[in-house]
Amino acid sequence: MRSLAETQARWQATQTHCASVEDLQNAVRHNGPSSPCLSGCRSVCWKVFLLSKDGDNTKLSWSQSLGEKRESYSERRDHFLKFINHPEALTELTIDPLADDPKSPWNTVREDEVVRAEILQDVQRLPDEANYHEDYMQRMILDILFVYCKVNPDRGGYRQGMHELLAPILHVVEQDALDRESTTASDEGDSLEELMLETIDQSFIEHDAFILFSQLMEHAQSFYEVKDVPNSSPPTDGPSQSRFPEQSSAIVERSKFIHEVCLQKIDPELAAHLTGIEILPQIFLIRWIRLLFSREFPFNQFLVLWDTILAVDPSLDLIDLVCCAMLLRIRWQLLESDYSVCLQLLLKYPPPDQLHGPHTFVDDALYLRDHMNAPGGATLIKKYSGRLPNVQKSTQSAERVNSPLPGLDSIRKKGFGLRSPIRSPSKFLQQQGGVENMIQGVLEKSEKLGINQALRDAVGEIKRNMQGLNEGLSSPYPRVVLADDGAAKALAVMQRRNDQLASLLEETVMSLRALSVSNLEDKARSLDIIEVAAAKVQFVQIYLQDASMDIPTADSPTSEEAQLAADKREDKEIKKAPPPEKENQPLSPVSATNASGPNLSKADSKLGDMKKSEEIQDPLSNAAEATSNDSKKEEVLSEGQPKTPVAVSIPARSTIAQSSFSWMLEPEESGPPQTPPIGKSPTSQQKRRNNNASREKNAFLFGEAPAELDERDPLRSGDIFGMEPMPTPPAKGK
Amino acid sequence: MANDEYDFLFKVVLIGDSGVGKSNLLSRFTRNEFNLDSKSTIGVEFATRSIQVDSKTIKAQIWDTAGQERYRAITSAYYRGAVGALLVYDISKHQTYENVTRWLKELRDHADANIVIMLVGNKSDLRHLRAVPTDEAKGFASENHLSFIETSALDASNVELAFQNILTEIYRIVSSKALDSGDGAQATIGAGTNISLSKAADDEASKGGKCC
Repeated sequence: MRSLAETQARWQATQTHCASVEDLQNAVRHNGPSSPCLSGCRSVCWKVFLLSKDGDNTKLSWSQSLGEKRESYSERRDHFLKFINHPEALTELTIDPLADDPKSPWNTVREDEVVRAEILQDVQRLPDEANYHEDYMQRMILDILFVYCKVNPDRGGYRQGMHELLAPILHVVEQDALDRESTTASDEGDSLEELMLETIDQSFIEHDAFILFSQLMEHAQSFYEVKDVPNSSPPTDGPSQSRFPEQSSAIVERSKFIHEVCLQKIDPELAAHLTGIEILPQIFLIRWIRLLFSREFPFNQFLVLWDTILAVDPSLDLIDLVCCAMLLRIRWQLLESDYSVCLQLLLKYPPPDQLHGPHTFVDDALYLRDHMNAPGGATLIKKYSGRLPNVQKSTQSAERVNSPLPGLDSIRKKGFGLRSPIRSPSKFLQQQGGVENMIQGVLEKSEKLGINQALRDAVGEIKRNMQGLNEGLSSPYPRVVLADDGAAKALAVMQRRNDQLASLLEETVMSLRALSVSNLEDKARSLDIIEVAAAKVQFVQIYLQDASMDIPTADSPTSEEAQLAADKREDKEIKKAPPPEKENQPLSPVSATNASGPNLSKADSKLGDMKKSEEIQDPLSNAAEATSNDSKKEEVLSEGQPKTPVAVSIPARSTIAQSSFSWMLEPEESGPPQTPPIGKSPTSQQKRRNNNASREKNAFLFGEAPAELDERDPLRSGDIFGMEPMPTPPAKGK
Repeated sequence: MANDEYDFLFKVVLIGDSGVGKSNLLSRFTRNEFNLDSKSTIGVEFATRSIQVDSKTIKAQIWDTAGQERYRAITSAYYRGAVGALLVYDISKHQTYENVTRWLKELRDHADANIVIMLVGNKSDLRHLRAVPTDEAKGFASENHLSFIETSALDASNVELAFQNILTEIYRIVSSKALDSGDGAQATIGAGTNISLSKAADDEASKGGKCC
């Protein structure tokens, strides 16, 4: 226990921020190391946050509430613990201990003892933090949890995890407590503030912990609610029939919401990745949420996190976005990991760096609350990793990804036009800085999905072709100069140009993403899509490399017509990759770096905190370098350009499904086609050893089947691990 | 996850009442660690370890969850794809043994019908507190066609063996079943993985259909 002097100093430190609840909230949020939670009385701050009534910001509403609730707890405690603490009182009753009446106090006590034993088992296994294992602490935690369960019989009783929500609260209250008796005995006793003596009175430690815990549980209770498994299901001999629908427990619903709604809006790529590798969000979110992140971070750090959460949002609604912020912080690691590694990352969250402790997730969450979209997510990703996500998509486009088939269809219906109508250029303003990243991202993403080789081949081809073009026209092209009076105009032109290019890339990304979601189920179609994507990327590349070229727009009907013609031709020959029309464009080689620099850097300035132009130029100049290196030997290729590079690069090779490991693949091969996302180009054979993401996924699925597939394929039920009969290898090119 | 090479990946779940030592069995097997005050499992824990059986690398993906929850929030995700289950009770707490039947029902309801189940009496070091006689549990296990073993995560006895046994059993079933199935598939398996036909057949014969 602290000395009286220290307690007073801390009380004062807290009081200076206590003019209103808002003041205290701001102080806790922004004051860093001098936060009243750290330099003052943390328990007092928590009391203010949890007990202040909505709309009643008068300074002492919480204090009043505290007094009333203390009284109430005393009564309940006495009532529910009467026979537990005084078993001899039972014998004084004139009730038969063996009476069959379930309401007999004897029976109640026996039942209570079972509950208490269950609680005690967890209390004894509390983490080795603070003073959790002191006897008096253990007894108080047990009693508080027990009384809580008795007071709230409708809430399903004690649930594992509640003990780890209560323990920190009790610890915090206990730390600040002041022995009132000893202070009144001392000389200074009279001068002490009555409010302080009352608020942190040592004799109410247990009461106050119960009160704070109960207030917290008002909002946290739903994390623990579980509906009973219905027992109505008739006995069956297979899991597919007897498998119950996933119970609609609140925590599972909330986990789904976080993944499928929040994260989907903020970082659709990551959301799709988690879906793709089949990590169910509740697997890791249950612990994150139920324990309010207390197992994910070291003791002192999660207390600061709790300070911030309670200050900002005692209703705990914000934790959805806190979870998202945590996912964003490790999104790059997650994106390059397979099932096992992802799960390990999520179940053993990497410690955040010193400068950005766990409480900064709350700041991130607040930002996300106001920017619940891909650009908002991208801003945070950039902030902590220095990298922009591959695609920053609007919510609208993100939703389209969710339905891969319609997405594919819509892309196909448009024909494989090189240029797509620009629906709303302003919508894509924020994407400008990421153009190069987007292209790079397409590569990175497809790499993970196993279509890497195909796509890389395609893009490599494009680069080579471009090089050929550049060599054919060797006069250096004048740069775009942003001169004084022409600057504004040039900027506007560039801006529009960027918009157009960005929207085109968005289309491409959409189609590739839809492709990834479709799991390459239709090989021929997938090839088409990749080809079209390659063509589009090439188109953008050409226009990026030569800033002087006008993108055909509605204002220039002739080029528009040419474009349409090109589109039509492509429709007819979708198997042919980039049409030769592009070569007919008045192309001039130009330093990619120089030409694209102004473009992109201007876009950057729009974005404010986005990359500096040099960073963006680098990949471009690298690309230019790379292309010039192998330009000579590829000259021939560039002449006979549209030779469906993608198709060439994908020879018929046996898939894993046809290999000796085929039996480890998911059993529902006979169901909806789920061709494993394995690279099919020759080099992927060498890469297979590293390709654990897909392998693991498939291997892991061995014997398992998503419930919905099961329902459609009841034949499976009798299989041994769903493996009999041997899954026939999926028809190639199905 | 360097040198993450394996021939088989088996998901095995740990089930049983709260406090019987599931998490310590997991940590003993995967990290050779034991913690007397291990925290209650909230949600799910997960660890992997690879072992060799018949010169094949078998990667065991072992899932551990809270005993109290009975997975109601995560049931299907937990059992999904599991090919083995260690059903653990505490030999010093009879109630945990009595609840084994409830856990078997849980498995019947949620897991694959052919999941390999091993009954594990943990805390065998607590000899003086034994509440469940070995023979009784052994009898129960054979009645219900379960394998049976007593372990102590604390002194590490039989932990390795328990996992070895169940993984080997799964492996045997998987390889023999693979061979039993259709002709085309058989050819593929035989050619690709070099599973010796005779060996696998022997194994199957020796098992005599006792499993499953």
